[in-house]
Amino acid sequence: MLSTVLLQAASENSHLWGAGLGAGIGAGLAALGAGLGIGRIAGSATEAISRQPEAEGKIRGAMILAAALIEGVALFGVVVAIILATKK
Amino acid sequence: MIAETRILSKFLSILALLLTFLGFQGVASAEVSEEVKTTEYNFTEAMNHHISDNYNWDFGMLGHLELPRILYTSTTGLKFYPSTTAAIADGWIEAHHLDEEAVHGALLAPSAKVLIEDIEAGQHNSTKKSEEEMDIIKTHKPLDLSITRNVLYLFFAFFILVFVFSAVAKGYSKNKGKAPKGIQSFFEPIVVYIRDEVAIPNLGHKNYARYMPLLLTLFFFIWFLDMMGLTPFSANVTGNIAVTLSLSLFSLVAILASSNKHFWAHTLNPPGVPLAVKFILVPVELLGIVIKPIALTIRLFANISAGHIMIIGLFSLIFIFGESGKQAMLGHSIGIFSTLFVLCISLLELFVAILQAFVFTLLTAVFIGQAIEEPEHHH
Repeated sequence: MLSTVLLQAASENSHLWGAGLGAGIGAGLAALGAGLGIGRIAGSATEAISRQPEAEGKIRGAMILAAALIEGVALFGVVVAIILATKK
Repeated sequence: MIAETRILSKFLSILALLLTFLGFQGVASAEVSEEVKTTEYNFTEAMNHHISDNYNWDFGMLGHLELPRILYTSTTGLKFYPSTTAAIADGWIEAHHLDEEAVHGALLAPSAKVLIEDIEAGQHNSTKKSEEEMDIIKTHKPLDLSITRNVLYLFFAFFILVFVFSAVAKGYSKNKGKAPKGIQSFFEPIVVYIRDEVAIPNLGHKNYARYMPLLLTLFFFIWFLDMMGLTPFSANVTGNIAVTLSLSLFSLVAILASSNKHFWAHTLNPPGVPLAVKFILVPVELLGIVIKPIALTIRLFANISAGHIMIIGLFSLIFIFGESGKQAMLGHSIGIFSTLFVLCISLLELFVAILQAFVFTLLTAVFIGQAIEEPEHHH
């Protein structure tokens, strides 16, 4: 394992170390944002269902729609990170 | 019964621990055996190979099927070949030799051969591509209409959809007035759900029937393609941005074709907005009409590709830990956990497949609904 780590430190893509760093931090932040946003949606949705169990169908529909939209935004960030990480 | 399961779980956990610690033996032996010939495992290359399109259908150890090529240049016209090998035998040239960025199977026109030989005879310079080589690559690239793996799977999805839904339709005509039977009973709740929860709330009772074919086709096409991408040896079709862009363009055409005067009046002249703000708002609204389908594209593409990349990454852990043969025991032991994780992620991906198809359809319905909205009568 040590040998691969040392090899990576001296690879021919050393001039792109910034891109790799940015990609990692960016993807992590995008995941963080998605987690916070969707966590809030899920929390509000479960609270609403507990207040009014008859409206469960409508609340679940709205929750899934909102979660998919927010995840779309997070994945814009992931796509940029992938482009950076696989830059030559 | 309980005692046996407890003994079994203890045995399995001891076995798992043993395997993991046995793997570390490999670290000591790495420095000893240098004559083991292995190739470095390049994760980026493996990932790109599995995410992107290919000119063959690869069954791993079971075989390899080359797909037909259809190439067009202005000098040679439209040419059909049953495989890439046949095309190369007929004089077309592998672009990969000239340009490492080119994907395996990308071809250049036969007339490029003489020019390439001239260059190779003339100069042996650095790794930077010379201007003449760039010129050849640009001017001798044929229009590639080949049946690649993605195109093949698009055709599979088409045939599956036609086959399944003609069976469903036949069921409706046979069981007129009676309860649904067979495959009809599987698809009817889904179709009814899309009609009642997606089409009618967004498009209204009067007009929803016109858009049902589009919405149902989008939903089932995307769902079936997503699911097919999760099977072995398949193509990553909806993770290809060209495919998702084409689907979004269909939605965009549907939105623009069904937009009424009221929609354009409100877009170009928003009511209740001061003049200064209008100068900013109108370009933003016009851009928004184009950006919404682009968001549909990227959402579907990124979700499906990210799922595939996660699965490839987890499998790659085995090869990275095993360092392609030098520490095979560590690779073996990580294999158990890797496979379990891949199983869980694949189950999640099944859910994501239908969810992304549903969200694409729902948002198309919402955008069409915004475009066909009639003016309220209290204006």
